[in-house]
Amino acid sequence: MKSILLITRANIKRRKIQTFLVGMCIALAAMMFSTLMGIGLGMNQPFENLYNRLNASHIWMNFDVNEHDPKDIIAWFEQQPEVVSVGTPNLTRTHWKKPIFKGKEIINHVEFREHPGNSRNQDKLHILEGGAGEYPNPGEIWIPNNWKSKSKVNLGDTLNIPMQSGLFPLIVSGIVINAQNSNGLSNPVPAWVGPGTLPMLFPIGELSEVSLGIRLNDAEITEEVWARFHKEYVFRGRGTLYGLYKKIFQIVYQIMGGLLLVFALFGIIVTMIITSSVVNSAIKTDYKMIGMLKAQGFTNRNIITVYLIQFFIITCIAVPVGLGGGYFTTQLVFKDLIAAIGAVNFDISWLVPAIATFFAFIIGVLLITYRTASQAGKIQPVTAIRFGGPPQRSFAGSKFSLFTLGPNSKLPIFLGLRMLMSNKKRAFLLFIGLLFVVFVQVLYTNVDNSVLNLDDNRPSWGFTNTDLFIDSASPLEENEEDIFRDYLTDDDRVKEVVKMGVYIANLPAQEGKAPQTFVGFIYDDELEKLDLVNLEGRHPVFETEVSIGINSAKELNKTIGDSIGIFMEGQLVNFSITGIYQNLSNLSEGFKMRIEGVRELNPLYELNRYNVILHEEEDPIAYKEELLEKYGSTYKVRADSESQGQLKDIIGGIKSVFLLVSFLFLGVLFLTVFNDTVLSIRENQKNMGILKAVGLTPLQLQFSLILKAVFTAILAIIVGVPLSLQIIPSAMDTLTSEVGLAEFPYVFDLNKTLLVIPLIMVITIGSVWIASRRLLKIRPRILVRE
Amino acid sequence: MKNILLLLFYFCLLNLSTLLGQNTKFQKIDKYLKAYQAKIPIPGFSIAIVEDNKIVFSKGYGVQKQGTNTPMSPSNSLGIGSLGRGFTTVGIMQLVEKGKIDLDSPVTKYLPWFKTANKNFSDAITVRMCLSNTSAIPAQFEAVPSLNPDESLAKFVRSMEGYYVKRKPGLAYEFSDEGYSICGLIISELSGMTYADYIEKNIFAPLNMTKTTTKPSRFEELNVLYGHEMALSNCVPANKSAINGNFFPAGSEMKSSVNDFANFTAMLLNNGQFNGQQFLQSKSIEEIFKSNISFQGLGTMLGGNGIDIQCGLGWLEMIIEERPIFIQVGNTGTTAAIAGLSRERNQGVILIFNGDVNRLDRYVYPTLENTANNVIHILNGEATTDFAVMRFDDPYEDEDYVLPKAKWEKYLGKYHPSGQESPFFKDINIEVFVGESGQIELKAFNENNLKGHYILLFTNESRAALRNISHPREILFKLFPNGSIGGLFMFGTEFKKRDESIEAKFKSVTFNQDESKLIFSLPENKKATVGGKNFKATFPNQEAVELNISLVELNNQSFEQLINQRFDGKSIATKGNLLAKNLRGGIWQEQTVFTKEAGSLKQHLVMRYQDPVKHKQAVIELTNPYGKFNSELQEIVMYFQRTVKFE
Repeated sequence: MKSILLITRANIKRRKIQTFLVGMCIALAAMMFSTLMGIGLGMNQPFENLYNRLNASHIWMNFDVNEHDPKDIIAWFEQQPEVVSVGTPNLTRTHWKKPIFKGKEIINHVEFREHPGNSRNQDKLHILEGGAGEYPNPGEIWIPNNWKSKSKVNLGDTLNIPMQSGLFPLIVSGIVINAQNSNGLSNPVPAWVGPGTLPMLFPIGELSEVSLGIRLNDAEITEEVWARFHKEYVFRGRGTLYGLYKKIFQIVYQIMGGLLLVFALFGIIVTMIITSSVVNSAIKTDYKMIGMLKAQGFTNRNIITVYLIQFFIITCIAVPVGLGGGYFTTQLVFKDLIAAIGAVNFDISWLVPAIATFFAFIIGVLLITYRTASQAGKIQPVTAIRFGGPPQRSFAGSKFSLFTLGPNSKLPIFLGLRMLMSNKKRAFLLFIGLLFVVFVQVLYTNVDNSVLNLDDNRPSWGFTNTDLFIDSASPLEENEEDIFRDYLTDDDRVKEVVKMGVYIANLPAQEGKAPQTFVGFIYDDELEKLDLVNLEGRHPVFETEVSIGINSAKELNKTIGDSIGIFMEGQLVNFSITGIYQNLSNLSEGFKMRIEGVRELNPLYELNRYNVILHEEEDPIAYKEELLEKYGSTYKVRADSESQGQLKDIIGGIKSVFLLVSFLFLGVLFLTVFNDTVLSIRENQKNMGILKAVGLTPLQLQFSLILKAVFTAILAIIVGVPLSLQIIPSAMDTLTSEVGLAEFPYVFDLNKTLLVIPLIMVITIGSVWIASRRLLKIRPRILVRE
Repeated sequence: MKNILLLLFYFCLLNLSTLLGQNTKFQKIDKYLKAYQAKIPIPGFSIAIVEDNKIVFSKGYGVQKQGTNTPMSPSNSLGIGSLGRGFTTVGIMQLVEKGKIDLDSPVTKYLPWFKTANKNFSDAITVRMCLSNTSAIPAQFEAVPSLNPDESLAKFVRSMEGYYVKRKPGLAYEFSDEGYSICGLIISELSGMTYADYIEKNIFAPLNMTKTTTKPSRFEELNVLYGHEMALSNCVPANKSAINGNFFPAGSEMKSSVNDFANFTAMLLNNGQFNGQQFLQSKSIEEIFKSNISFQGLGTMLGGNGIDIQCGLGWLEMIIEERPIFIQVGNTGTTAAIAGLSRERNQGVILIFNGDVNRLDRYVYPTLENTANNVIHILNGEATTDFAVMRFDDPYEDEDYVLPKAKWEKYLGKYHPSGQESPFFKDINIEVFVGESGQIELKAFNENNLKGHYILLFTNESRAALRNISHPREILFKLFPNGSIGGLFMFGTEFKKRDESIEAKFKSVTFNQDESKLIFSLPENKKATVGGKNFKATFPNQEAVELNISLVELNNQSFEQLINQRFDGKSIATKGNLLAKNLRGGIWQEQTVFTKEAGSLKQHLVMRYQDPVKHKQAVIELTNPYGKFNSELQEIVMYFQRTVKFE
């Protein structure tokens, strides 16, 4: 045993560079593996994890104490067998003036909530920073995490709340997230003050709204309990259920999480390929030494043990290094994720990916070592000592004569091809690795393109192509509005004018479901004018028609031609469904209708928002300023570009995360090709020596290696690009259907996709070039050992 | 000689015919206004006409108060609302002439501390922008009430640090009282006088405006008329409303008579001269009327011509039937006023009404602008026109929906405001009932004062038009699919239907102290004790919570002083916002104070209700350990505030 250990130590010492390279490869692979595993685990079920960890309520109710005695409601829920706990009724107040920080408004409006304290064990807050006490002290506020990332508010900063008598300062003493609103996509978003401290800000007479949370033993029965409550209790407040919170949360996570998981899966496969190659290569380098050891009486088992120990030690050192890198990379990814969506759901311990990676690599490397070393056991000592390596894969059967080739001949091309074909298994593995890289790059390029070009493809996301939103600030009479409309439509710069309004309707109670709010958009002209599109069917035209969101269609089990009962204007009215659409901003729920539909019920119904589309060359901001100058405060004018801040922030965050992952895969590409090149050189040492001896320059040899990799890369591109283009759209549809994008608005960009090809080529060539640099210095005498 | 006599006779005849012509002109105006008075359900109004720098006609029509016979007179003082802005403009121009103000200098030059939430925008606001309504400071109508109006102006302007200006100042016209409040404060700061004192001394006195004031202390002396609220078919006398000084310079509490305002108008028309004295330089007059910006004019369907309105400093220039008319319109909710000036003909017409004629149903009654314009036409021997008369029919006229009687019951009841109230509709409670008309009616009350009485004309089960003599407006009932009604939305405020069973838990309590009698509601199960001058209450299940009430004579002590006095010797850890509102003709103030006692925090909600009429005040304090204030205590205080009054 001692001799085994001594040989192992000597091996490591003797081949410092090789050991270092092997270690580096394992470390890089471990980093990749742990990063993607970390992301994968972090993305996996984050909503449920956080919900359960914080004992979050599945039903969140807001009501007025003038209408309901909280005790009555609490009593009802406490009698229900499914109810685990009922929270305390806490004062709540939505403020429609945004807090001011450093002279600027915070991104969201605020729903101020009094936090009863984490010791209540229900609707706890996840404290990210600060939050020293049970709840904020008087004059302090705990803010949602997205304010930190979006508005750069930090612990100890002062937020100024616009109040009747000026600004009221609140010191930020905690940065927190709650389970229901963790991604900051809702508006208003909650922020927390201490119990009983809302009267510091607001008149006591205006604080009649309370919020009350109900936690159930099973999230899946939330609807059922809520429906029962409505059946047995005349409730006039509003309730938000677990399902909606989850959907809102998933808007971003569903897209990002799904994609990152796909990336992670690819990454794991590729890292295993790399590790396997590296270990293989390292053992084969020791071919001669193995022969010598065997000649000295070492058994196969002894030799296997030497390598097992050797690679165990290297792995034990390399994996923690990789884990360190992985930790920072994961943090970096999640930092961007947090910045993108304002959430912290990276609530898994780093221990899990660390332990998993460590053991996966130890086991993986040892298995590969065992397998490769077992093959080494078959080495004939005489052959090994004599040839210093495995019998070279000969170029037998080739039809060209080495001696007829001049320095300018096509030999490197054939050489490259021969090397490729001489080890088909490794060539296949390289091809698979490159295929994944191509897939990821095409996916990144086009998804990124789709998201970034949202402005050019708004209808597919469910948005209109409106340039300006104009709201009537004062309720003028209908005909007076017509004059304004004429003014707009007569303007040559204006392409389309369509009035619209939001209508809060209700869906009546149904089997196992409580009545629910059903938000609609009402238009006074053809919806086509705003470039709105349907997934199926057509837009409503007549007063009896509606189109509905795809998620509503799924939830209500409705399709085109079906009838749907909507509670509007105090009446339950049946409409015929003509179309099904998707709309990201409304989670593809709700309905669209022409104004005639409401006018049937209320002839005086009016819409108050103009959607104005300008001709392409016109500047919306300049037109907006002109309208303001002409009409002053009569109309409120807002350019669409001014109202997309949050969406653009999210998109920017998504982009940076994807960019990082894309870079990781480019790193994988480099590593894979690098390894393959090193192995190729080793396998073909003899041939290369001969070729050099007969006049091939090192440059030509390098060229042949480059060609070998380039052939593989071209093949991967030829197969990968069309395959990706085929798979990605439907994969994206699946990933985003839950959040209402049944058809992900995939925008294929040929130019950007074609750019992937040179990018992959450059990295491939660069990688081969660096890996084969030593060839330039090698003398044929060394290469030709025979 | 014969020729001379003939010539004299000819001149006499000419003057007589002129006089007769004048008389005929004023007779026609009188006839027109009598007919107009008969048409409108407003009890009374007065008019003054200025021509060639003097009052040529002034008269009152109708009665001062509904149900009385005292006739309206042109010397009656009433609220003129935004017409008062003209005084602020003149005050500023006087200081411009003295070299104390440059119209185009930023406000911060005169009020260095002035800022909005985004200082970079407020730094760009000039005095001219404030006067021409282009400051971009949004009109929020959020008053900071105080019993001392002189203090509240400065407080109000300082409170604008909470305003977030969203538009580049100077870019567009936006009606705003705030700009005038800022200018009023500048006048006060630069003159070393209160705004009210300055204009009284420098404008009203020199212009002989003896019936004009913005000082509430003089209202009684001037026998100010408070106007009327609107009911089903007539007006009902309005009560004196709560006063705060926030918007004095924008005319919120400006009282004047047509005769007084005619003097002001004559000065403006006479290039700044009044009674032979140069009151204001002519270049200042030009500056006042010069356009700074324009906005869309009255559209054709509203009886206008759509020509852009030019905005001077407090005056709007409209092209009406090809004549430029400078107008100002003001209304207070219970009174209304209009002034129209033709500078080219040196004529001015001022009308002040003891009801808010601007709010009258425009489908039925002539508009204020139409009446003023026709008076100018008659004055010039021209035919009357239908300028500013609505060109389309009442949309509710053809409404044939009838709410089935079987469904009436669920609408009936009392409704309370919920959440943030509209600044124009504060402290209002609503009752929906079946009225004498046999239809569903709605009454809005401020305490016991009627603020509006309407018949509900339902257009479907969730919407109804409010019909009375005022212009119809729509309200929306919040209907649930289960058939219940949650509340209603009216004038920008949400009202919740009151759950009578909750209210039944509260009982009225009377606390007598000396000659003071305070009435309020507290939960029936409270434990109350009266000891000395204090009333103390505790509540079951609310451990260590106390409500203490003490009654004292109304005094000038500020709330800050009250807090300092009350917590003298105690360590105040932190304080909340000082919140104030008008309540039943008085002022309600509240502030949360946290003290550190024996290492732990104690919460004190200190409230004060001041009744300037009864000259009493109550100080109420709810004390609890920090963390123990809850929705039940909120409810107790809310009901207390809702019911508290001195008798």
